[in-house]
Amino acid sequence: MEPTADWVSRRAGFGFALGEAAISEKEWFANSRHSVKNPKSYIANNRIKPMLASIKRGLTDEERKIYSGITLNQTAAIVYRKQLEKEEDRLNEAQENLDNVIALKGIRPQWLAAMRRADFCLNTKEDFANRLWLFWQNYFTVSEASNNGPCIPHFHETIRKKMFGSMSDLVFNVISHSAMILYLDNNNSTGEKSKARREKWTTDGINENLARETLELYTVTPGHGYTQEDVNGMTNILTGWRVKDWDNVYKAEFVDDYHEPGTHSVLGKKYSSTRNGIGQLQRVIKDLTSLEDTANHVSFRLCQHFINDQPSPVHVAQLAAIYIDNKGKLAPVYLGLLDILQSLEHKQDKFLNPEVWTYQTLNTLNIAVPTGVPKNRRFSPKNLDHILRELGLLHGEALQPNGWAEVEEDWLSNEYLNRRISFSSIIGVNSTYKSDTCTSIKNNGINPKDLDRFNLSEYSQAFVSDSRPFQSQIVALLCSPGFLRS
Amino acid sequence: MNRRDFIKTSAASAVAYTMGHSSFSNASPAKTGNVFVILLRGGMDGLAAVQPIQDKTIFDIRRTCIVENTLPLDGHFGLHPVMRGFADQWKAGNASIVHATGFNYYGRSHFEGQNVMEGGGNAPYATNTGWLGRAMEVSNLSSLAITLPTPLICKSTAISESLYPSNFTKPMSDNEALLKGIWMGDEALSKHTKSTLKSYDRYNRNNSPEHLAREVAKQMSQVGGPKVGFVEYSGFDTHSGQGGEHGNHGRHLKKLDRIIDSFASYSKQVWDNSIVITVTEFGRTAKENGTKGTDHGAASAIFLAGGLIKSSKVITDWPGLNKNDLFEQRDLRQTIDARDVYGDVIHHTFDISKAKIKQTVFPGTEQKLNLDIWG
Repeated sequence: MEPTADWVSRRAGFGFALGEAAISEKEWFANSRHSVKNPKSYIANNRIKPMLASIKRGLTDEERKIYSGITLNQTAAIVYRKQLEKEEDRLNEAQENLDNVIALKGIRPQWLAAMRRADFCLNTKEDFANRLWLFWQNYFTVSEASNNGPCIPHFHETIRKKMFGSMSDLVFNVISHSAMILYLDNNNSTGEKSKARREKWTTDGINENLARETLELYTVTPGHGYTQEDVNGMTNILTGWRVKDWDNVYKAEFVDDYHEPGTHSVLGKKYSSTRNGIGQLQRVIKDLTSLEDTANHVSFRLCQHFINDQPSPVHVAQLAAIYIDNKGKLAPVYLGLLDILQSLEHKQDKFLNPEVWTYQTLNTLNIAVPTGVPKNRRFSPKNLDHILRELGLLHGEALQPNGWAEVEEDWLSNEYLNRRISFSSIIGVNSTYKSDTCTSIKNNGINPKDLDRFNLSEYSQAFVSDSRPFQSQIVALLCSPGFLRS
Repeated sequence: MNRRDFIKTSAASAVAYTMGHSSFSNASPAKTGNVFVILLRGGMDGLAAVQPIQDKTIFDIRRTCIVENTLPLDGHFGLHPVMRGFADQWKAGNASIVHATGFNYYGRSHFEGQNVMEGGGNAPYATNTGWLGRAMEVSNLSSLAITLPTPLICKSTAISESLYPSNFTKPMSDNEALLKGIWMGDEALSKHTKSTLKSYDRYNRNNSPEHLAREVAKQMSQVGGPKVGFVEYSGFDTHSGQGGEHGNHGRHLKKLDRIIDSFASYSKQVWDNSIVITVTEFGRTAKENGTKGTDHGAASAIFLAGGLIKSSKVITDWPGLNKNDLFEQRDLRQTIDARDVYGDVIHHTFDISKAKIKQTVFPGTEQKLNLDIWG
C-alpha cells in the first residue's frame, strides 16, 4: 500500500491534529525539510526560545502578557506561567543548596521540563524535528544526580540547538555540559600531575565514568575494540571540565589547573594539550565521530527509533554512508531517514514508546497539555510529568545512562498495557481531557476519512464507534493495535 | 463475568505466570524450594560489603572507602555494619557469602556486564533469554517479578511478565471483552489477554524495595504461589563519594539488608524452604579512585541467606590485593565463577541435575562447585 501523509506523519512525528486544515504530503515534507535546513530561524521564531531565555533572566511585564496568550487553554496558561515564575524564583536562589531549594519550593525542574517539552512538541508544527529532539534526549540520557537537576532543561535546549549541526559539535557540547559533567562524575576528575594536585588544593584524582560512556554509548561503541588505555587517555583529556561558577550552573568550563598536562592517546592517535585543552577535547571528539563505527551506531539508533526494532542493515548502511559522505553532518542523515520513511510500506511495525504514544494521543484528540498542579506532592492524573512517569518513560529519570528502551519487548507488557488502559480511561472521564474531537467521537464515532490519522483498521473502528460508555470508546481507540503503533 | 471478576483477572495478568507452558501450573515438584533473587545494579562493591580484614593491603589502597566497625564473620572478613539483619541470619547459621566471584566478564561496561549477569552467557549479547528464566523453564516453575520492565534475567522463550505498583486508579468499566476483541488477530497483543494472576493490589502506591520484597514474600507463601521471586535495586555505581561505614554505598547496603529482612519476616511459612541470593554485574576497583569513590572492576561478592542454608561461611579462594595479584593491577580477580555458584543453588532448590544446568541454564560452564552449605 502507498504511504499516505497521515501514516508518514505518525511515523516521523506525532500525527496531525484533527483541528488543523489538512496539508499535502509534499507540503508536510517541505515543512519538515525547512525546519531541518533552517534551524536557526526556526528556533528564533519559536516562542519557546524567548521563554527559555526569560527563565534565566526573569520575566518582564511585557513578556508576561505575551506568555498568557500561549495556545494552551486559558486556565492552563495561567498555571503554566505561574510555574515559570516559580522556577525563576528558584533559579534566583540557586546559590543556596539546590536540593533544599527544590524541596522548599516543592517544584522540580523536571516537572516543568516535561510540560515545556510537550508544549514544544504539540504546539509547533515541525513534528519530525520534535521527534528527533526526543530521540537525542534519550540518546544522551541525563538523569537527575549530583545537583544537576536545574541544568537539565538547559541541557535539552542545547541538544535542540546543536542537533541540526555536526555529530562532532553535538557530542562536544553535550559532554562538556554541566548536566552531563555532573551526572557522569566528571566534575571532580582531576589530573594526577595537574597544578591543583601539585599545589595540594585538592586530593581528588581522575574519574573515568564520562570517558568510558563517551566511547561506549555516544560514539564508537565496544564493538570497535578500544582498550583500558584508550579509556585512560579519554579520561585524562576530560580532566578539568567542571562547574567553576555555581551561580552560573548552566555552564561547565575547562579549568586548566585541574587538567592532566601533556599528550594523551585515544585509539592510536595522540592529542596534545600544550596549546589548548578545549581544542584537545574537540579534536578527539572530531576523530571519534568521524569513524565508521560511530556512523553505524548513530544510523542504527535512528532506524531503530523511527522504523522498527530490528532495522534492516540496508537502511542502516544507507544512513551511515550519508553520514560518512557528509563528514558527520546530521541534517543530510535526517533527510535520508525521511526518504526511507516515505518509501516504506505501511506495516505498523513500530510499537510506540509511552511518550510518543501520549503525544500522539494529545495531538490527534486535540487535548491541551495537562498542566495540573498536584496537591501535597501526591500523584495527580492531571499532571503530565506524573502521567509519563506512570506510563514508564520520563526524561531525566532513566535508571542508567543508556536511557529508555527503544524496543517493543520492554513496552509491550501486561503491566505497561494496563497502565495505558488506565490512562485511556482517565481521558474518557476526567474533564481535564475534554476536547471537541472527543465530543465528536462520543456523538458520531470515527469518521471513515479519519481512519488513517488514528491508524485504525475498519475492524477496530467498529469497536470505537460501538462501545459504551465513552471511556470504553477511548480505550478501544487508544489501545487499538493501530494506534499503539506507527 | 462481572466487574469484580474482571478486576481480579486483569490484575492477574501482571503477576504470576507459567514459564514455558501455556497454562498456569500449581503442581511443582515436591522437592522444589523457593528462590528470591535480588538484582543489584550498578556494581556492588564486594570489598566494602564484605571487607577483607586480614589482608591489610586494603588499608593501603583505600582511605575514605574503608569501612570501620565491621561486624565479625569468620575472622578473615568483616561484614558492613549496616547489614545487621544479615548478621543475625549469619549467627543463626542461615547465611553465607561467596567472595571474589564474577561472571568471567572483565570488560568493565555496565551494559555488557548486566547482559552477562542476566543472560548468563559466555560473552555479552550471546543470548536473549535469562538464566533464571531458563532454569524455571526446565523445571516448569512460575515466578513473580516486581520490577519494570521485565528484566532479561527472568526471560525465557515463553512469555514473561513483571509488575510494579501503579498510581493510576482501576478503570471503571469492564474492558476485558472489548480488548480481547480489539486485539484479536494481533499476535503480540493478544498474548496479553490471557491472565493467570492471583490477587495482588497493583494499585498500592508503596514502591519501596522493602515493601516489594514483602509483597513477593506474601505471594510466595501462598499455596500454589510462585516459587521464584525477584526484585531489583540500583544505585551501587559509586564513582565518587562512596563513603565507608556511613555514606552512599553503605546507604544502599542498608537497603539491601532491609530487603532481605523484609522477605525473611513475611515468608515465615516458607522460609525454611527458601534461599535469597544477590546478583550484581561486577565489583569495583580495589583501589579508591581520585574522587573518593571506586570505578568499575571485576570480582564482587554474593550474599546467600535462608532456611535452606545450614551453615554460615565465607566461601572464597582469595586472590589477594597486592598490585600484581590484581587484574591489570587494578581489579580483584574472579576466582570462583558466579555461574557455578548460582548453578549449585539451582541444583539444590529446583532439583535440576548439574548436567541439565550445563546444557540449558549455563552452557559452557563446569558446574563442579559444591558450596557445601546445604547440611
